[in-house]
Amino acid sequence: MPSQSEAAASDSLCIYGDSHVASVKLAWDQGLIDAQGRKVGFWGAAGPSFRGLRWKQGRIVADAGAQADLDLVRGDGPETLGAKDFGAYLFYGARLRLSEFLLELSAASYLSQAALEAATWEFMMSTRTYRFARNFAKAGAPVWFVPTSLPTQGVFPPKEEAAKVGIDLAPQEVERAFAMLRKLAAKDRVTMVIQPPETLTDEFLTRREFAVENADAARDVVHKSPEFAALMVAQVLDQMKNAKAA
Amino acid sequence: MAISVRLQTRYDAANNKVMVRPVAENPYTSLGAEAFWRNAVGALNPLQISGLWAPKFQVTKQMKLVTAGSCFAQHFSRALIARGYPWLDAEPAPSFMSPDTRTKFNYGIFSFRTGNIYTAKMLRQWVEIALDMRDEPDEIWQEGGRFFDPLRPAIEPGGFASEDELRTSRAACLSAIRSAIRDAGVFVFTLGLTESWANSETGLEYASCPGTAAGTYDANKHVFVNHRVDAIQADLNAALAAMKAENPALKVLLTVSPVPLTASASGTHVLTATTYSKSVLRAVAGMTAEDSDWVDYFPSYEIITAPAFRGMFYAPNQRNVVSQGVDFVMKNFFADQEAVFGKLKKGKKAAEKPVPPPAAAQSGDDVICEEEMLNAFAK
Repeated sequence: MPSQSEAAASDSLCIYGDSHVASVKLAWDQGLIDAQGRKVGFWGAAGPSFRGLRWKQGRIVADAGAQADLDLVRGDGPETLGAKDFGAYLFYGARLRLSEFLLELSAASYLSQAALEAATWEFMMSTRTYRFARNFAKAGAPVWFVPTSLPTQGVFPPKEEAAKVGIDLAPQEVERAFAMLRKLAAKDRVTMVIQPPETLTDEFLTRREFAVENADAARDVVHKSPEFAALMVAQVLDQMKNAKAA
Repeated sequence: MAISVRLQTRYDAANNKVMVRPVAENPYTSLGAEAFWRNAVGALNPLQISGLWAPKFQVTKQMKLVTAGSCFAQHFSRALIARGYPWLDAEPAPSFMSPDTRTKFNYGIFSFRTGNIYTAKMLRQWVEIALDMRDEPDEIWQEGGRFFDPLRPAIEPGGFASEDELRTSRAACLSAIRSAIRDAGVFVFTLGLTESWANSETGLEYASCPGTAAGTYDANKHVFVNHRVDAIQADLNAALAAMKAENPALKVLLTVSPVPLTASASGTHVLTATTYSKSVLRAVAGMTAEDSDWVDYFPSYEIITAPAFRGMFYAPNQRNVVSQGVDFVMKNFFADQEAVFGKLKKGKKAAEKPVPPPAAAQSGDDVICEEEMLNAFAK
């Protein structure tokens, strides 16, 4: 029989991420997320500090330089993060960038299914956070992953982001690529939740209505609104509920 | 009135005298040292032999370079990339695909994913299909539920999952060939073999004998062909003419692979078959270059195979060319270019395809996020 604290942990959800996790926190604070009675904790760090989160002896730990940023996010959550600390994990954004994935595919030539599988696997494994997620799943934790959403429609991007807008792929090729991400993640027992078609324009941009507040002034094509985060997290919570029921 | 008389001196050892005699003017008297074996080869250490090539045109960093042909062409592309030349990868893999996976799936080896194009006939087939001058072959090989392209049976490890996938992939390759022809400044083609296999009914030439890389050999359907000079020249001329019509500014650089045959089906010893094959190809390359001012021949073949180099650039199996050999070939290539055209001016790099940023490069996640986090978490 599990202890009281283990039972509490089993009903909890850790949302792990980089700066994109801010939109989830705002959605949470604004009551846009119905966690269905689960305790929700946040873990991660923004900006360069996110790269200071490392895998060490089965846990995610922060470099000294990332500690302050981690503390801001985790609050009274665990100082280091292991697979058993929460009942489930949602890796949110966390540098698995759909725009990079699709842009590179659109610049490349046609890939057979086997070549796409090999390339997609290498793309996923090149992202440190995906490796964390995979390790947690291997250790038995239920894991979901929401990759970083596509750039926002109609926001004039700064120079370094400009090249990341403009995906030249047929819709069926985008779906093929997304299906491959889901398939390979499923092999690792990680559930990949990709932003749904209703959030996207025909040019594979995130619809303008999901822009982060002040997106135009900040020229922020990357971050999204709390409403968008709520929509994505709701999908994950529904899947968790269904998984539990099953 | 001044009279010019050329004198020749010779040492007579028996009489310990220097003999001097006038020499009549003839076509050889005005030739440079490179025309005489004693000075250009015999008296030199092999690594000092130079000036083997007098290029017809300058290869600049403003020209997109396309490479295709036999295995040896791969060395060209690598050396060009290493020296900052804009080698054209018309059928690129996504940047996040690892080098090993690229190699496994034959990306980045030639300018398009045809695999090796060993013969002039195969080049002609590819060019004419790509430029819609002939139809794609219907023939597809099936084996164990997988599908193989007879034009490039080894391109997809284990074969394609379906005929549809094979045809989609081939269409991408044909499109890449078209764009490579249209965009190329210099098309480097390395002739590899005279021996080939074809379908006796359709005339389609295969990249390799059915039953080797893939497919099933059928003695009633598959025929061995050892192409002769006239046929090779006709195929090469047709391929080059089709490319030139598509891209009037195109220049072509021919080479002959110094790599001997792996095996010969000609009924002769593989060594004599190799000599025959390479001699024929060398002759065709030379004749083709002689006939066109936009086609040149670079003697990488001679640099590796000539007796003066004593076989030193071959691996112990006397077939593979060692990296020092490739380096020596490319050193000659660039030195001969410089000897005729001078040093390339710095800062004249072509507009190359932008190199995608590495995965860890700064992104909006990194640079636009601090305020976001403070806004959300700092209460």
